[in-house]
Amino acid sequence: MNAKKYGKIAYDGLITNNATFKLVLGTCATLGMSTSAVNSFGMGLSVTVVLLLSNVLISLLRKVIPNTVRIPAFIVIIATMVTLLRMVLEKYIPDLYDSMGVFLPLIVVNCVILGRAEAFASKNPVLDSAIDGVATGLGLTFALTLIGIIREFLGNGSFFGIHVMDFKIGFFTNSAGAFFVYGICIALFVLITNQAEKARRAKQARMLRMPSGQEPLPAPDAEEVK
Amino acid sequence: MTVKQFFKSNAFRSLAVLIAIVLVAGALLAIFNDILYISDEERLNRTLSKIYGENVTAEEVTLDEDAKTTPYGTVNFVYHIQEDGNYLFQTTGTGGYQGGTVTVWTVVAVTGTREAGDLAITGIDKVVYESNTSQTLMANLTDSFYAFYTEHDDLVADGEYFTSVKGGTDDLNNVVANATMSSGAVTNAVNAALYCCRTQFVSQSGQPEPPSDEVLEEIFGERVALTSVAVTDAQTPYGTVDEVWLTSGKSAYLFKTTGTGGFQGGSVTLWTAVTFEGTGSEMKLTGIEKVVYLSNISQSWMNKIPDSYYDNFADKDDLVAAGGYFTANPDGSGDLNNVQTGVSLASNASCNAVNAALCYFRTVLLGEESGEEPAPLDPVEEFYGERVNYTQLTIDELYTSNEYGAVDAVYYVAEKNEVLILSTGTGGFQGGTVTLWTSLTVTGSLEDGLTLTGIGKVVYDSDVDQSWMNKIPDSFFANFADKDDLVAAGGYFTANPDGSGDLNNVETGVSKASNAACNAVNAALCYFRLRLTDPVERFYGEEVDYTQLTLGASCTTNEYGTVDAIYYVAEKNEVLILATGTGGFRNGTVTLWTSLTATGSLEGGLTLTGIGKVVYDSNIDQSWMNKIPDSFYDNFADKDDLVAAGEYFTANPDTGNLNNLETGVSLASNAACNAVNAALCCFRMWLTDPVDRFYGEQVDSTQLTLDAAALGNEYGTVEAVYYIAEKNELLVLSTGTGGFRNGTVTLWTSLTVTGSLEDGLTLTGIGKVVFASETSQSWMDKIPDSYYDNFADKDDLVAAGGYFTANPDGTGDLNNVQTGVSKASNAACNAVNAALCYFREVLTGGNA
Repeated sequence: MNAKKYGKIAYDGLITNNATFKLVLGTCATLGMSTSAVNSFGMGLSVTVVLLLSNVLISLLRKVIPNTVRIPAFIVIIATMVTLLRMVLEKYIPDLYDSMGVFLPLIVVNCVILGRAEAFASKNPVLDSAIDGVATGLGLTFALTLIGIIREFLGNGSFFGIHVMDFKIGFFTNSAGAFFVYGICIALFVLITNQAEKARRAKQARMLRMPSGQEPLPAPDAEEVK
Repeated sequence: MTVKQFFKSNAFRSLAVLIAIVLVAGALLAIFNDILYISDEERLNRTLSKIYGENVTAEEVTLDEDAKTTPYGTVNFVYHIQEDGNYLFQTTGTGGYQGGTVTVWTVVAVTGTREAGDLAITGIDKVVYESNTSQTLMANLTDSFYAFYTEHDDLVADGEYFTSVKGGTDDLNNVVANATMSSGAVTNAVNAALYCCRTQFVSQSGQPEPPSDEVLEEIFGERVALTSVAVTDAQTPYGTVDEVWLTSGKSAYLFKTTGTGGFQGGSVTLWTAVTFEGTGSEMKLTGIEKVVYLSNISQSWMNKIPDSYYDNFADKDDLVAAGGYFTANPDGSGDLNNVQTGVSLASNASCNAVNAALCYFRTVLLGEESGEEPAPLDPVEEFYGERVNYTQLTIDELYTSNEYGAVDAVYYVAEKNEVLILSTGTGGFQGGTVTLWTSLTVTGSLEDGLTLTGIGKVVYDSDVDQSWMNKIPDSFFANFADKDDLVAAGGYFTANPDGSGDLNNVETGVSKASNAACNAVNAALCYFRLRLTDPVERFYGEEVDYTQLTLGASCTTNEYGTVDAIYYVAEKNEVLILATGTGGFRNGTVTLWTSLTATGSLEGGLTLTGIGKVVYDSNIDQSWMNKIPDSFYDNFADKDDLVAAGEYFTANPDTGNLNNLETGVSLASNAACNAVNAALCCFRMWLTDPVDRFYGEQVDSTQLTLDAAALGNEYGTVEAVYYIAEKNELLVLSTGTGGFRNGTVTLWTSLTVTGSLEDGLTLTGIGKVVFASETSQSWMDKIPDSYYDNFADKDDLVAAGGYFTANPDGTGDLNNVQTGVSKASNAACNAVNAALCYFREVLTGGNA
C-alpha cells in the first residue's frame, strides 16, 4: 500500500505534475540555464537538493508554523537551504558554482519550490514530502536537461560539452530559441503523456467491462472507432 | 487584552515562531559559513590551479592606485608566478552590454626580470573568465574565444592590442556574433592587463613607440623628427594624456590622448598636434594644426564621423589660443562646438580627447592654473618660490658627514643649473648646530660631472640651541653669495670674530651661531667637491684630458659585476673604470674606481700592464664598509705581474695569489675585489687588440686604409678593415642602420676570400659574425649567439651577390630575423650588408 502510494507520489512529481512541462513553473531558470546540457543538469540537481531539504524541513515544522506566517517561514527556510547549497557548491564544486552564476541564488524564488512546499510539504508527512521533493526535482532535472541537450546540440553543435558537428544555428542559443524549444517540448510532452493517459484509461475501461479472469478485448483500430 | 492573553494569542505565537526560525537559520548559516569558508588564499590557489593545472607559487605585486586604472579597464590584482616568471593579472574590462564589465584572469608571458630591467612581453599564455556584471550572453563566449588571445604572440610582443569590432578584419580582432559588447569587455580586460604590464613592468615603460610615418605625413605633410616628452599628471578633467612628443622644426607638440564621455562610458583616442610660439616662459599656445583619429572603445557609430569633422578642430585657432575648450552640444550652441549630428556622444569623447591635449599643454607645459586647488610647494620648490623640476641624489652613507657637519639632502635642479643642499653645520653655541639650504651654482651635467661656479642663495632652515639666531639678519646669509670667485677656487668660509680671512662671514655678537652657519655652507661645499665634480679629475686630483668610452650593455656586464663608466686617459696611459662588484654582505655591492695601466692605443688595441690606483666610491648594504682602511685599496696596485698575466683577485680567508681580504669584513672585501675584477674582465674582453680578440689567438693582420669617400653606403658605414692572410679572411668592423628608434648595430664580420690583396680578392662567404656594440637597441640581449651564426650558413647566396634581409614574415633566401626583435635584426643585417657592399663596390671595384 505504502509502496503504491509512494509510487504515485513519485509518478506525479515526475510525469503527471512535471514542474516544467506540465505546471510550467521555474521558467526563469529553465530558459536561463538551458544553454548547455551540463549546466541544465547541474541546475536541476541543485533544485532537487533544495526541494528535498526544504520539503523535509517544512514537513517537520508543518504543525508548528502558524498558518498566518507560513509563507514568510517557508521562504526563510528555502532561502537558508539555497544559501547552504551555495556554500557547499562554492567550496566543493566551484566550476558548477561559476557556471550557475546569478541563477543559483534565484532558486530561492523558483516557484516550484515554494509551490510544492505550500501544496504538499505543509500538508503531508515527512517521507511523503521527501519523495515528492525528489520526484519533482528529478522531473525538473529531466526537463531542463532535455531542453539543454536540444539547445546545445542545435545551437553549438556539441553534446554535454563534446563537440559533435560544425553546423550551428545561433537562434537556439538566445532567448527566442529557448522559448521555441521550450514550447515544442511542452507540446510534445503533453501529447505523449495525453496519449499514454488515454491508452491507460482505455485499458482500464476494458478491464472493468470484462468478467474477471478473461483477457480484455484488443483495443479497436482507429478506423473501426471512426 | 492582558499581557497573559497577548502571550497566548496567535499573533505572538506567529511572531515567536518566525523569529525562532530566523534565529535558527541564522545560526546554522553562521556555523556552515565558518566550516565552508574559502579564504582569499584558497580562492587564489583555485584560480591558479584552474589556469596552470597544478599548484604554483604566486607573489602579489603592489601597484600604485594610478597604475590600476587603464584606458581599457581596471587592474584588480597582479601576481608574479615564481615557477615561470610570468605575470597573472585579474582585470575588469569596461564597455560591456548595458555599461557592464567582465573580469578575467590573464597570464602575460614574459622573459627577463624587472630587477634586471630587461623584462619583455612575449605573448599571452591563458585567459580565464572570472565574473561579469550585466552580461547576459557570457555563455556564448566559448573556449575558442578565450584561446584566440593566446594565438597571436608575435603581434602581442610587438606592442599591439586586441580589438572586438563587429566585422573587423585586423589580425587581433576577436568578437563573437550576437555578443559583441561582452566580447569587447573581455578584450578590454585582456588589453588592460597588457597595458599595465607594458607601462609598469616592461623596461621600455615611459618610452612609447613614436607615431608611424603615415600619421606624421597625415598631420604635417612630411615625416618629422620627434622627441618623447615624459608625461606627468596624465589625468585631466577631459581624459588621459597617453603620449607627448615634441616635433623638430614645426613648433608643435603632438599629443596622443583619450577622451572620456563617449557612448556607454566609452572613449575616443586621437592624435592632436598643438602649435605654439616662443620658448620657455615665453611659450604660448597658438592653435591646433591637425587632429587624426586613432581608436575608440565602445563607440559603435564611429564610422559615421567623417574626416571633415576632425578638420573642424583646426579652424578655431583664435578661440583655442584665447583659452577655450571644445564642446559637443547637440543644439550646436557654443563658439567651439564641434558635434556630428546623430553621433553626439562619440563627438563628445572626441572633443574631450582634444581638450585633454589642450588642458595638458596649458596646465603642465605652460604651468597655468588648472582651476583646481594647486598642490602645496615642497621644500625645494619653496626655496625657489616656484615649481621646479629636480632630481634628488642619493647620499652615500660614508659621505653624509665631513669635518664641517652633515649633509641631509642633495637635489640637482637642472633648469636652474644649481645643486641645492640641505646641510647642518656644527660648532654652534653650546655645541649646537645650524641647518641651512645652500644652492650651489654649477656648470656641466650630472653624467659628465659638475663644476662649481659659486653660491646662489643661502636660506635658514632650523637650529639647535642657538638662542640668538634671531639676531642674525638676512644680510648675513646674503653674504655667502658674494664670494663666487673664492668659492670656485676651493675656499671655505670662516667666522672669525676679528674679521680675518677672505671668506670670513660673522655677525657681531653671534659668533658661535655664525660659525655653525658657515660650517653648514662648508659642509655643502665639501660634499660637492668630494662627490659631484668631474669624476676623472676628482680621481686624479688635477685636470686631465680624457675620452669617455661607450660600450654596449652586453659588454659591460660580466660574472663579477657591472661596469658603469669607462674613461681613457691617454696622457696617463691609463683606463679609468667605475665598476660595481657583486657578492657583498646580504647580496649587496661595492662600487670602486680602478685605474688600469696600459700600453698601446684605443685604435690599435691596449695591453694591460697593471693597476694604478683603486678608490672607493659607494656601496649597497655593506654596513661595515667603514672598517676597510685605505691600505686595503692600495693592495690592489701591488700585483701588476699577476694582473698583467690575466689573473683575478679573490677574497679568500686563506688562499690565492691575488688575494685581498680585510679581516672581519670578508663579504665586503669580496664585493670590492669583484668590482676590480669586473673592470679587469671588461678590459680584457673589449679593449685589447680587436683582431686577436675576434680570433681568440694572436694573428698577423694588415689594417687596410679605407677609402674615406666610400665608407658609407645604403646599409651603413664601415669603420675598419683588416686582412688576415693566414686565415684567408677579411675582418670588417661595420655599423648597420635601420634599428629601433633609428639606432644602429655594430658587428665584426669576417669575409672568407680567395686570392690576395695584390692580385685581387674573391668573396666566397662569411666566416663568423660577432657583436661589437649598438645604440638605442634596448632588446639587443634577446638576440642569441645562434642568430649571428646564421650569417655564416649562406655562403652560396652571399658569394652570388646577395644581401641579407630581416623580414618579420620570414620571406627571402637570405632572411635572418630574430622574432620580436625585428628592428635590431634589421640593423644587424645591415651591418653585415655594409661590409659586403664595401667589399663588392670598393675593394673589388664593383666586380665582385
